[in-house]
Amino acid sequence: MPLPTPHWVNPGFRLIECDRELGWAEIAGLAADLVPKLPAHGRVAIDGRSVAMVLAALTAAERAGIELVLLREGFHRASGASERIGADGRLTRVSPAVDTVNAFAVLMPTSGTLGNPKLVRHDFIRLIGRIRGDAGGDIRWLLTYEPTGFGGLQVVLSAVAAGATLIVDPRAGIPALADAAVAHGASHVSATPSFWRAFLIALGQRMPPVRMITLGGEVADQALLDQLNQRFPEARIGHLYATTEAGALFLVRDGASGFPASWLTDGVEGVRLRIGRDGRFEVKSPRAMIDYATGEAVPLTDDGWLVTGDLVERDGDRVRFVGRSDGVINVGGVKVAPERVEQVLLAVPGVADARVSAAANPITGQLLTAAVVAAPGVDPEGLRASLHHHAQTLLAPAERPRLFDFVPQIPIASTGKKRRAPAGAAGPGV
Amino acid sequence: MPDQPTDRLPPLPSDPPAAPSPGATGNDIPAARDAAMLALITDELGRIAADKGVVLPALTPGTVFLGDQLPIDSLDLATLLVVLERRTGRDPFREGFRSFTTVGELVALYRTP
Repeated sequence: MPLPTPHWVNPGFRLIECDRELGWAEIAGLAADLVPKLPAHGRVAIDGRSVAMVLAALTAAERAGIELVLLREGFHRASGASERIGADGRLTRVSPAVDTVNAFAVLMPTSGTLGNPKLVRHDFIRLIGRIRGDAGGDIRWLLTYEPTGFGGLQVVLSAVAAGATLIVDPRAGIPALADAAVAHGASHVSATPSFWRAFLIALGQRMPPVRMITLGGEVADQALLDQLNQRFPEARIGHLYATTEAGALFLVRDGASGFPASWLTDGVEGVRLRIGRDGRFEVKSPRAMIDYATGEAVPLTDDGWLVTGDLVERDGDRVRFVGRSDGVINVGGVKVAPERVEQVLLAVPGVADARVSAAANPITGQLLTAAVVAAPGVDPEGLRASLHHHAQTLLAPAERPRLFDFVPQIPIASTGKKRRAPAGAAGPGV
Repeated sequence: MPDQPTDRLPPLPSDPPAAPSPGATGNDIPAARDAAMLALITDELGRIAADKGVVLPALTPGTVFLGDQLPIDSLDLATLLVVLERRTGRDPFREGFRSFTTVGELVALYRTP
């Protein structure tokens, strides 16, 4: 018995996944197979290895009225799901069911893997609140994000709602995605500024027919905007401000960095914005999360505004992002807490002290470097090799310090905290 | 000095290590600088690859950084640019990102003073 087409689906949608093309009928078939296997209540999980299966799982979980956890690479915390859906559609029992509200909701981890990422619970209707189902049969989206992350899911659901074609290869690197963009004629690409820089490097002289460019997850510098404009003169360029917690908030379309200060009084796209204490960027969003399914307190002010963690500054008629209040470093769109990386380094035998800082980088915006104090009698060269090895084993690529400098001691600031190099503009995060 | 640690090497002199003979034409100087830069990129990218346990094939000016020729990703390439800035004391990206695809195109970015 085929499932009715969900209201958020335009059945003209096509999916090109690793060069295999599927229509909605095939995805609905996968969903119909899943429904009888799902528990009557509780929570199931799926990772992002197959976009077809993620869409089938969303359809089936909505039908069954249960919660769906979207897993990301490197998320190892217990998600509370009783079953995990494989890329082949088979279910594996993972843990006893937890008590949950019996309603369809989408749960996604915050970015980063260190220090227990939180699990953010979203109401699906609010999650798709910015997505317009305008007919887009000639649109060909390229997926550059992990499909189970916030930015990736927005792209997937935008393509589904528009009846567009979506080009995906969830485990491919940037060179393979550049090949796919050329081979399949990508017209719409949403990516971090870091991705765009590496994408231009990988494309070389090749020229996919891109006409809609969206940037998100990091601050976009004017030089990159100019390069994109020059490279794709026909394309509209916008940057999207979104966070996993606050949802997709607004798109800045005027080609300048930051956003118009008038939005602080007028609001934008149904969202109210304000600059709180010490430059903290606070929002009231109709598309914000419900809560953390992992139980942490929602970061709200006393008067009910959501604290984003980003710092902003007003500069005339513009508001610009200048960093993070929590000292988090944004490496190519991945948020990394330097203290957590330091804890990993301090556990490496032979390390007496360590401090992780951000170095400005032309491709990834920022990159981690580490100053390390070797324990007495330890050979720095052997320790360097050991640090690289531990970083590669224990940390995700964006979390690894790329250069280790050996120093006699770590400077301590007057506050008693380790002095870090200025992190610069850490930027808004997806 | 063999195998000095990457992060403590002094900046590369702006002149090539082997100074051209007095009789050389002016064209030899940029060519020698390019050759020195290619050697530096080969050396430093080789170290970055070795740190993650992979071996690079020989680099030529036509080698594409992010394609199927080299076992590196965009974070490795980002690391290379930080190291090159330390080693040469120059940053062609100071005014923002500039695109390049091949090793030769990156060498050319370091050509201007």
